[in-house]
Amino acid sequence: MYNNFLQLDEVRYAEDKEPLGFEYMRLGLNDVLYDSKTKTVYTPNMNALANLDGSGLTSDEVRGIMELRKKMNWVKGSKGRFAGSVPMGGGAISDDSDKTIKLEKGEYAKIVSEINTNYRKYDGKRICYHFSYWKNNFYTYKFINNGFDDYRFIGKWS
Amino acid sequence: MEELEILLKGVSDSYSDFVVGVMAEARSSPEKLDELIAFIKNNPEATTSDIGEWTAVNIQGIDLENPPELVLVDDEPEES
Repeated sequence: MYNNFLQLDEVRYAEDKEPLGFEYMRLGLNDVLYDSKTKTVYTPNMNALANLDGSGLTSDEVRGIMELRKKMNWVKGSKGRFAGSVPMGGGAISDDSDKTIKLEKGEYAKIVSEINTNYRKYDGKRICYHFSYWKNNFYTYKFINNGFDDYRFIGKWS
Repeated sequence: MEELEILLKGVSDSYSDFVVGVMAEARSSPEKLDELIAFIKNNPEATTSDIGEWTAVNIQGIDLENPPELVLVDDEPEES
């Protein structure tokens, strides 16, 4: 029953006890449901549906957005630790070093944790992609893999 | 895009996040789609990292030796 291949009343039947009439199936909120026929992913705790067939990820998203912002607030240091704040308006920088990737702190912690958990998938790869969700939207995060728990994010798309 | 998806799935060390991610990159710069397809076809031994590196340089315009800085901001209130 714990692994969902038996339901409550089935177990009670096997134990020769009266059924409770409990007709619900238990689904963990930690799991998403993938329909291999329609190539859609349903996330129960968000009531969100995403297509993985190349036609789009969610119905109302804006595609192809890479969040490149001016410097502000906190900066990530080595090994993902905070490295203080970046001064605002600290002089004009006109080349690509002016670009930054903006992530919310909770988002960053969640994504890094997920990558760490699934690190086997990324082990040995220099440039990696991680598909996840944050605040009701699905995103793909692109990062340079410097080893376990040492990731340099270089892109994010919804 | 369908051709790209097939090519991406055929990469030796392909994985689903990679396919979804590169297709999102290609959608963001459709003018680069043909170049990307040509790169994969001309480099059948290219790994997911090789392709990710190509898109970083040619689509994102990133210098991988000097990548964009990550800025962490306070969590914004969730939209209802």
